[in-house]
Amino acid sequence: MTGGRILLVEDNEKNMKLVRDVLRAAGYNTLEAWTGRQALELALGETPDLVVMDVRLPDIDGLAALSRLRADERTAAIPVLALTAQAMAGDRERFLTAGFDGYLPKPVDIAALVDAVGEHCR
Amino acid sequence: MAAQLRESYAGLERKVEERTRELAKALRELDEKSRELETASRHKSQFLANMSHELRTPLNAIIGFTQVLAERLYGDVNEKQEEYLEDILSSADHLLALINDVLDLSKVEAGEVELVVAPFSLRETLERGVVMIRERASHDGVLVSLSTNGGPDLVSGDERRISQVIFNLLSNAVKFTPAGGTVDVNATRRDGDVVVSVTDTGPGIAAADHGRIFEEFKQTESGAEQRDGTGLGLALSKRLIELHGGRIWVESELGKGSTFVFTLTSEPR
Repeated sequence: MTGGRILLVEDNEKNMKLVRDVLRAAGYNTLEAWTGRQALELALGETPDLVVMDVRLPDIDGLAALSRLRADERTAAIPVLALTAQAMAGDRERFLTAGFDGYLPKPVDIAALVDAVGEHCR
Repeated sequence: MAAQLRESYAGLERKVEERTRELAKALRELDEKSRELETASRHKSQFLANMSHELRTPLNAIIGFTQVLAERLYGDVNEKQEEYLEDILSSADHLLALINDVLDLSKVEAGEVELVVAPFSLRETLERGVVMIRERASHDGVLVSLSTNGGPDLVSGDERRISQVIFNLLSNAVKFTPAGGTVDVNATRRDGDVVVSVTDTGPGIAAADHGRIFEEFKQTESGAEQRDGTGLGLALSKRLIELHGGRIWVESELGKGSTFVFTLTSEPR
């Protein structure tokens, strides 16, 4: 089940470290993008098995990045999970409707993170 | 005589005109003030909403890294360290609950909460609430019962919001009821209104506190001692019930338990 390559998109240093360490401890390889554009480049160049994406990013936001990934046939099939501090009522529905394959509100439960990643990355 | 009358009549007219002008001015000022207040309230609520979002980001690192340590992903921890990790986690959870309540309250205040009104089964909603609280209740030795016999079933309202109120009242009741006590939930119909009550055998609430416990951060002394409440639950419940056009209040005496009651009219505003 493990060993997959996951692209992490996160602009907060500590939260990047957290997700990276948790997923590496669970046996995954990780790639890191700190902006939406970097995420698109890495997704194209490295074709990861899964993308775990923050939504509020410095350049293009997670929703825009998602739609560009989906618009390109080379990246369209990569599952993308939203990992976001936008966690108000209705946000889950909003992100799932936008096409994310999963929604993890911050603060995230690390067991839930590992479960969600495992589900999309086997 | 006629000239005098005409004169005093003209004087009256002038006075009426003057008063009308003054009134119109006062109205305009009032209108302006109310708009200013509305804007201020919107700004305040927007600020709180943004704040809540920004608070989640560091909280993600705090809770996440604590879980990493508690799960021993990078090695063992001793008993004392584990205890501290649990303390950090429960404090962080408390902070998260506060953030959620503040956000909810700010949205209600800004008029941003739109009720999704539809008919729903009050009985089922109450049953779900009771099921959710039962684990904590039985852990605390408190018996929770529900009676809706012959009471209303289908009511009109925002089920998610009403569930939130019910769960808040239930968790308060269980929290303040000592082991061996009971919490009784009841639903009846009275004069076309639906009346839901949650009765506990806790310490009761002095009459002087009956109003203020529904204000933000105004807890009773025993409420503040419990420390796990946010002090916002009842304030939020009150707003949500009032949005539905209902009322919420407490009937209680010190030493005699408490009954929290709310009503729902059949036609929410």
